[in-house]
Amino acid sequence: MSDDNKELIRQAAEGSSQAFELLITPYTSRLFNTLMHILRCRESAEDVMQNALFNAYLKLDTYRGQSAFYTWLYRIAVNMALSYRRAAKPVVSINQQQEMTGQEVIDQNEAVGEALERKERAAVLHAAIGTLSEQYRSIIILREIEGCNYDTIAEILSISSGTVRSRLHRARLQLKGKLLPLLNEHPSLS
Amino acid sequence: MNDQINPNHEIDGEILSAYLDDELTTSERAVVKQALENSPQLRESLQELKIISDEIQCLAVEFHPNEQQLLETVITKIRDRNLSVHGQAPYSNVKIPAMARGWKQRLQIPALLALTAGVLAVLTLQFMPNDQSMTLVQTEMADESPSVESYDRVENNAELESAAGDSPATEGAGAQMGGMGGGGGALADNRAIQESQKHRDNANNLTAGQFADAAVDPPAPARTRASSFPIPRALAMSEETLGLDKPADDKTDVADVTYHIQVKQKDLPALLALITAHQNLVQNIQRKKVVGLSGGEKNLAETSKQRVTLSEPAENKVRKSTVNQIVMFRSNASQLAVLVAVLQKNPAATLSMNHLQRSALGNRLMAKDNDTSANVKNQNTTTIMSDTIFSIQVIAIP
Repeated sequence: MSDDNKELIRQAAEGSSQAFELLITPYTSRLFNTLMHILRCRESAEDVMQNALFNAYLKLDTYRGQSAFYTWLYRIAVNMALSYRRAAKPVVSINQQQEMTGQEVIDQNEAVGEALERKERAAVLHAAIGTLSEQYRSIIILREIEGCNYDTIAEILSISSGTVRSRLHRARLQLKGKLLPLLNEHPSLS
Repeated sequence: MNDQINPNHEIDGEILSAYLDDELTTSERAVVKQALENSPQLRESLQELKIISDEIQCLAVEFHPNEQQLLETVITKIRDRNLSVHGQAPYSNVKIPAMARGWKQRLQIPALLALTAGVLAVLTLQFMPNDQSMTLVQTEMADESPSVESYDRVENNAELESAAGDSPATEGAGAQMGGMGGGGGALADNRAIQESQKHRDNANNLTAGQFADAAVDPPAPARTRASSFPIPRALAMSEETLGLDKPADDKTDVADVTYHIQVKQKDLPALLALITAHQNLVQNIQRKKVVGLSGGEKNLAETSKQRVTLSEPAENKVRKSTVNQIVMFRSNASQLAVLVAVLQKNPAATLSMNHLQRSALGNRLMAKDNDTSANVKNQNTTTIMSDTIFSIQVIAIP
């Protein structure tokens, strides 16, 4: 943890919201991106993000600096996102799907049939990820999109590194089952 | 996960997945690598995993939050919470950082701000001698001083350095501060720069309440503002209780660095809001605003400008600018770095800086450079002490 962060954490823990703002600002974009991939809904991601940051502020005095502040913050936010999903069981709307992929919602088969464009490939991919259970999806997102290593993922999700490895593999197997046939059928996708 | 993979170990998909993620030990990787060489099927499995992984990484859509709105919501929530919990305004329980404790023990806010104001005067006079913006500041300072002559004397760098050389810089700054506030015509008597006791007399004119007003309230016109500094009782009290009568140690409370931030006039409000929003990073923030010139001030300004023009033609935009806002504060290097990083993100602002370096032996202010084009990132951080007064001068250009 950098000295700057230490000082900001100390000030924020003593009540300075401005110090807290400075502390979290470097992470907000990345964190929001992760929450969007988990929740697949901007409104939900914003709600969870706000609550997660507020909770982080309230819990700052429990942060011992044993892990990176980023990891600690992620742990709070990702766990809240997973809880939110479990509680809300949101259905991805057309608008949300559009935002996730940047284009109109398309039928998967049709998309594959016309899959020459990056956005269409993205639509297929996100649809496939969306079918994963949340424990697999969160691991895929943290690993493939956030680039976290196994230890960091383990810390964020409060599971062991061995569990990360096995779940990640199973998540990949599921994705492979959904995507590879399409990719093999349409090599231009890969 | 920790089970070691030996050469006879069956390489399953999970191990391949970990291999792909570079999460195996060196010896495990060697085993897997050997197995891959011997098994086309394994290579194909690995390739499939890699395709999936690459696809996700390549095609992942990046989402961007409405960061400002999101942060505002969170911060508002936090402030509301602080109010409900503490029953008081947020931040009131924020302690002064450890680096500042030495200061805190010796001086308290009114005296500190008084000194800071004085330092601003010195900084401005020393480093912007040919600057119209300096002229404005000087004019304001001279507003309640008895004569233009005294103003001229203060402006003279050679005299100022001489004065500083004869007495601790802090004290000279304090004398300036008194003049800046218009208290008792201290600025008129330039000898005050050389006489530490005079500084204290001037500083005695400050009350805590008025000082707080100066720091928080919107800037008032020059004449109104001028009365907000020297009030005798507060400093009499602070001198006794805060140790102002003690000689300054080598960590004297003297400003070291001035930042000049040039912005377009239209960007000024945003930048000031930014600085204000981050004033938690600094101690004893104080803002001044030059709002205009009265008739007498204008004459004085014009006189000064003519003199400047004759002696040295304008070379950069600064000299054609107006100091609209001056923000002074005390900070430390790490906090300053954070603040500067925030300010640097503002594309409208061009940061440049002046150094003031205190001589270790002479305990005096020295002008190190006045390179307004020097970028902040090039600053010599060794010249920034952990306890330092910084001055931010926001200069708006058309």
